[in-house]
Amino acid sequence: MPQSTGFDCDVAIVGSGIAGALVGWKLAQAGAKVVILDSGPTVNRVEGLALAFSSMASSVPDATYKMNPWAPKPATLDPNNYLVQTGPDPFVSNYERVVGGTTWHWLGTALRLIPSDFRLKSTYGVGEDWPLSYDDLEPWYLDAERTIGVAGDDIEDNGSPRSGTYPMPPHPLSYSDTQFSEAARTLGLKVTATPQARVSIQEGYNKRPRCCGNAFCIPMCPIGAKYDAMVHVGFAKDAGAEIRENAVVFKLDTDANGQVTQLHYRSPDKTDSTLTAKQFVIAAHAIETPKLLLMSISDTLPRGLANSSDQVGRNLMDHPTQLTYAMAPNPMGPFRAPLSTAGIEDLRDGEFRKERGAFRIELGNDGWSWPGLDPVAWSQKLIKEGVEGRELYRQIAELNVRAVRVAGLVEQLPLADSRVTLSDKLDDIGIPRPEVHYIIDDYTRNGLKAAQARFAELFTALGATAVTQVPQLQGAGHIMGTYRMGTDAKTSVTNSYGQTWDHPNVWLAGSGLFPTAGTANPTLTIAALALRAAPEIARALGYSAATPPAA
Amino acid sequence: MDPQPTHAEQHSPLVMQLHRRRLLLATGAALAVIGFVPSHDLAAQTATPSPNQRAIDQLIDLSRALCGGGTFDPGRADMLLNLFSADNALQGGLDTLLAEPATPSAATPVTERSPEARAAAEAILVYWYAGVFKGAPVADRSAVYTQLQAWQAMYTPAWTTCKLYGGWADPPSLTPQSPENP
Repeated sequence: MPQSTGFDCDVAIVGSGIAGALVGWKLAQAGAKVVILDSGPTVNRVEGLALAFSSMASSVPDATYKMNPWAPKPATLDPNNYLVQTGPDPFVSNYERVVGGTTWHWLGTALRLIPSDFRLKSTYGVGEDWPLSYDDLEPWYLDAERTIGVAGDDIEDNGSPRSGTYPMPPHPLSYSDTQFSEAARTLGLKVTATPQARVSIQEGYNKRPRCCGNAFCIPMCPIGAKYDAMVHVGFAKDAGAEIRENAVVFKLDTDANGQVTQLHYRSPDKTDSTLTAKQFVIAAHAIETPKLLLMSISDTLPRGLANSSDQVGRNLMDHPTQLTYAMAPNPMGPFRAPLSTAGIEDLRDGEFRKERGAFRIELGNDGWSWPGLDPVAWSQKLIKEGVEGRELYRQIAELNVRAVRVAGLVEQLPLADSRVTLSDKLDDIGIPRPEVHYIIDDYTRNGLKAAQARFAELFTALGATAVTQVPQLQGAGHIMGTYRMGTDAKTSVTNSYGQTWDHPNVWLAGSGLFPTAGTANPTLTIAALALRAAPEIARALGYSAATPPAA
Repeated sequence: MDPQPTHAEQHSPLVMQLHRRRLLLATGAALAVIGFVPSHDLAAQTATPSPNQRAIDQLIDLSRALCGGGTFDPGRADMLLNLFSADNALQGGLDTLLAEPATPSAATPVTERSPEARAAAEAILVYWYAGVFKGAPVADRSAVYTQLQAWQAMYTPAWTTCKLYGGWADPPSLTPQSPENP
């Protein structure tokens, strides 16, 4: 067995979200001495819910999480509290800086990318190709689904061919989904159950209980039925990994050979510490990871770590989202299911991708909460309008029960000038805030227009009224592209395993690796890539490879 | 669909923690009820209710008429009285509303109320429906959130409340959650 002599640990992992937690768990299982550092604290579920309930916006993604001054983050309602934006388009997605990362507030959708997403340039002449194919990643998708516990329909592959079954059966469609299904059929579209990392079986999964329809997946599943990375943070600890919370990593040092030797981290009291390791994994999501790389400048690395290609921080993408809501003709019954149980996946591929972005349609079970009119906010609106007495009571019940919304998550192409850099403005512990120069081009804008047109048709078919196309673009929270993988060190930051071209003992994980965005919610792909990278990192440490993917 | 809690659900520390929390809230509410003797039946048995008790009862009657239904915790009514007492204009509006007949049909129409009375009525409504007073969340909002009037008015319990697994596939119930509801 390899020895750690002379090093504090075998592998230091920065970030304890799904990518960091899975890699840490696998490497600890293989026998490596693992330290996982996170800038934020451990979250307490009960305290989180109390925090949300005491705030005016109780259901926004960050409602259940404190804003810690040593680990600031973009707020849902004011991302500029942290991001320094220079336009031209507003970047409105956010993320969490806590142990477990943004899986705390993700929806739980666990879709795979489709094969053409990996060959966008070859197939449609736009964007980039990935350095691996769908077939290369397919066994790891399967492994990821079993690892995090995905409930899905084995019959319906949503355009992503499968070599095995889901570990859990799909959740039932909501009543609202079935009404949409009838309407969609008249348009030649199909509503399918969305694969989701949410327990659907009575006996539970990974010590998680079955979903009970409490309709609060975002900001936080109250009972942990939805997967969050605390599952594998826990498994990693059980396997011997150490978790250092409230440790804000701000620099990595290299030696004369280009090997990274140690990292520096700062505590909330502003004291600094170092940690040496043989291998380093940076899994701090697609804004904090490039920020850390860019901060690690030296005389020999004037552009920062792993940045000989000048691609670090570039190609910032999201799934810009068209949000549309309406009043259904009949009661639909929101607020008693996971926030989304179905979608329309027919529109994610086609020749049109030469000209405009594809999109997927997410059907919501959360009334008009996303547009800001949850029942509590709606009651305030009606009161302001002078409605009171039994009429107020009646309207709250009868309007909310018919409120429906859909969201179109639109593909975005990588653009070199859409990027994250370092601001000269500092946070409370003296670390640069991210400067974001975000661009949405016509390829994506035309995709958004196509989504609007589809939604108008869909709501007409449903017989809905009061159809409202929200004019402001919404962020999906799917931050991607800022340290992309590739086959060429001149145009990419890492190889297909996330190993940086410039520093062989530095590995990057997370959605910043994605060369293109596709239309699938990114978390399952993040997990699959992390599980695929773990055996390579283990081998680099001299350990036998971690568990191979499930057959 | 199976409505029974699963083994995992029954034994999840988080679920148990949350169940305990609900129990504590319910217990707290029950104690508040006992402490403030809220029901009209009990109030009628009291020969000389304290001035504060009378004010609480009056405010609850007014709140019920304005809100159109639901249940009202006397402890929270007392808290609302305290909030009003710290604002002369709102207190004046409340006094005007309390001087009116309690039955909605006999009360002054919304549009004909004085500005102070309208502001007071809106404050009462927003307090009970949204847990907000003068634009800010009230101190006990996290404890009472799922019981806010806005959720009581709905056909389904508040979010974060566990419902039936898979029950979401059925047409929604259109039965009010509480017999107190209209």
